[in-house]
Amino acid sequence: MNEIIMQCNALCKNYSGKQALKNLNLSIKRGRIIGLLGPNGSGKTTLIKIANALLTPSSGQILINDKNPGIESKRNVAYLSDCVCLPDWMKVGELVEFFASYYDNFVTQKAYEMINNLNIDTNVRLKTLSKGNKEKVQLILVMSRDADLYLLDEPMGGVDPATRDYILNTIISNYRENSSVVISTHLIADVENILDEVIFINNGEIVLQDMVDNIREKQGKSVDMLFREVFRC
Amino acid sequence: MLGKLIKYEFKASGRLLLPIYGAVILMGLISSFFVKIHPDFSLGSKLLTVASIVSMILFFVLIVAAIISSYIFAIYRYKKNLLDSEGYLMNTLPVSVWQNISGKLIPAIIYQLLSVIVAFIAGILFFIIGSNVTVANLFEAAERFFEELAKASSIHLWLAVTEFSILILISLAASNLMVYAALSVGHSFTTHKILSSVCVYVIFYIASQFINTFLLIAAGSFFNNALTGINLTDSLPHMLIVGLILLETAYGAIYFFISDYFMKNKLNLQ
Repeated sequence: MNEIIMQCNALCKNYSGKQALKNLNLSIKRGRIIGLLGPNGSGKTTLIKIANALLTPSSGQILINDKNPGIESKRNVAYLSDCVCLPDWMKVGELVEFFASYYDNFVTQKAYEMINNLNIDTNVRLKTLSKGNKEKVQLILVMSRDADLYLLDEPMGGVDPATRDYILNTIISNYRENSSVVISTHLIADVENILDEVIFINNGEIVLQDMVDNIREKQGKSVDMLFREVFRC
Repeated sequence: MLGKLIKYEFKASGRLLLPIYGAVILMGLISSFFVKIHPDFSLGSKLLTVASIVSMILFFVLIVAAIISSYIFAIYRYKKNLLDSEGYLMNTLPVSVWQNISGKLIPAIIYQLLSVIVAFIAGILFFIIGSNVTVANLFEAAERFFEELAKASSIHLWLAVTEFSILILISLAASNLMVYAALSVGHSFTTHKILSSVCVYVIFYIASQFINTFLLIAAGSFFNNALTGINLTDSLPHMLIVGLILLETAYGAIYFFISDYFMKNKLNLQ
């Protein structure tokens, strides 16, 4: 098994004349929870979308398990988009069955357990749930997969602090040793404690990639403090 | 995987379309019932006359609505499920782009055909219940019609029916794919996605009309020059249908390729 789960080589993405990613080189190893941190518009979502084959790079290459994004990588990457993207006319139970039917690595029992713990009725349509519960259901469906790589785009955007805690707990408790979790966010204080490694991204370029312990030991700062320093306006 | 996509799409589209189809049959029964009990509008209760007319108008409106909605819904489902926010889910499933497109196309064609079949059945039901015609009468009449048709022309009837059915299927596929291709191209733009899709559709339409006209002129001159003196009355309709099938297949293939290419390489979900 290759230790590197995702690798970017000179990755560029241009949108209508603007460079969203500039010659990005990056390696993500297995067995880590990684924070992809940067201000809005820094290229976090673009990078995650390219890894999910939702965008094609303008030049350069991204490899998941040594392969270009495609059907094979989609089997092994669990992706949480930055919006609720599930068909809201479906019942919660139907969504679980939908995921189970497409992903071999989906653990149905795990999903039902987590949904039952939240006291969400599996017979109700998704559209009848609150925004927070919709996001929780979406996260449960993503985290119920035994994937190699979890790419979570803004998993805590616009939810209350209690829901944030729930989301972080769900991520930690479902994370497996050989897999990696990439959490894209700008809410650093919330995620800091669960991160092993951070990647700072700004204007489509990697500004810093280091282990959280190194940052604390060498620089004597928290990730949140360092972020504020690096991205000072 | 394609089977699963088709099954899912049947369910998603059926939620709206099947109740409309059911309403068509129901309204056909209701209006035929009124005609049965109140055959002469000039006599009897005015209220019954109004009810009969309203039910017939509603029946007609529902038939049109069922057929139109099966087309509109095909467009809506492609856009909503593959190109809007639900596209994040559908385009990250471990399926190919062609499977996602076919997973929308096949149910769309079946529902479009079903809408016409439902309208036809509702019309026959209306006719049978509302008048004194029996089902047996209808079958006899249909049989006679086909016999006469076969006698009157030298065309091989079943061959013609088969060719015509294939042409309808392929044309339906091509017309849906033309919209899919326009939506796929239009949604690759960052802004004004719908407007762009409409513009692309218009361009496709004009281009296809241009090609059709050109082919028509070319075919006309070919028959005039090359085949003078040969009796074409027997084979001309056959050649025409086969030619149209080939043309529609070519259009369908081109639009499928365009949709596939743009969904694969230019997807721009927001």
